[in-house]
Amino acid sequence: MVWAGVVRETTSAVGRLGGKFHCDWTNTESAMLASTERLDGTPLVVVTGEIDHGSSSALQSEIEPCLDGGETTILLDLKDVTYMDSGGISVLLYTVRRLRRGNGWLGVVSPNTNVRRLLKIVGLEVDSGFRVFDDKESAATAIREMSTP
Amino acid sequence: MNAGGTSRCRMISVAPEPIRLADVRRFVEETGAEAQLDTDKIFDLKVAVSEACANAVEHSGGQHAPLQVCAFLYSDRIVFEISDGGDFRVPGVPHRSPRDDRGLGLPLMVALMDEVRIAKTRGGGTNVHLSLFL
Repeated sequence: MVWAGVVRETTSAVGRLGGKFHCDWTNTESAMLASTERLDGTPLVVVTGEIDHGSSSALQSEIEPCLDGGETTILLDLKDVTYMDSGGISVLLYTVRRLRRGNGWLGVVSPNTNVRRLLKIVGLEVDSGFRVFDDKESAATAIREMSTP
Repeated sequence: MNAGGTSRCRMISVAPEPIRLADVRRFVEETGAEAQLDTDKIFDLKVAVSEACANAVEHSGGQHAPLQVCAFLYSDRIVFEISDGGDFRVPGVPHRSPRDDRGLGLPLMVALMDEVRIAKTRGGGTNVHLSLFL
C-alpha cells in the first residue's frame, strides 16, 4: 500500500483517486477471545484481542452468566487487549450498572495505557462501581479485603 | 482550512459490515506508521475512525454502498475522512433508548481528535472529517 501521491485537496481529487486506488482488503478480521476463570472465588473474564463494535456482543455473552448468576463482583483481565472503543466501553458500562444494583463493582486488570486513557475520558475511572488494578495481585488483595468482615 | 493546499492521499473502501472495522483499523495503523506518528496517536486515530465507521455500519440499513475512508497527510496534520452511502446521521448519538450507551462515539472522537467536522455528502450520506495535528 502506498500514498497515492501529491494532490490538491479537492473533493474531485478524492473522487478520481477513489476509483483508481481502491484498496480491497479482505483478510483481516476482528479477533477477540474471552474465557472465564476464578480469582479467589471471583469470576475473572480473561479477554484477548480487540474489543470493538463487532466483537462486543461476544464479550457481553461471556459476562452475562456471571451477572445472571448473582455475582456481586466481576473482574476483567485486559492485559492482552490491544484495542477497545465505545463498543467495549458500552459492555463495561452495562456491567457496572447491573453490578451497582447489588452494591457490587467491576474491576479491570492490567489495561494498557491507551485503554486506560479511554476509561478516564468516559468517566469510568471515577465511577463508584468501577475499579482499575495494575495487576492480578492487587485485584486479589481487594477481593480479600472485601470479604474480610 | 489547509493553508498549504497540497496533501498526500490514500483510501480504503469496505463493505458496511462490523467485521470490516478491523480492516479499516489496519489501514489507519499502516497510514499512521508511515506518517511516523507515535503509537498513542495511532491508537486515538484508530478509535476515532472506527467510531465514525461503526456509526455508518449501524445505519447502513442493509444497503451495500461501500464505506470510504480517505487519509490525507499534510505538513502539520493528518486527516481522515469517512463517507458513507446511507442516510445522514450525526455519529454516536443514541437512537434507540435512553439506556443505550452508543452515545459515546461522538464524545470520544471529539476528545481524541483536534478537529471533528460532520457534513452531508452530495448523495445525502454522512461525511466525518477527523483531523489530528502532527
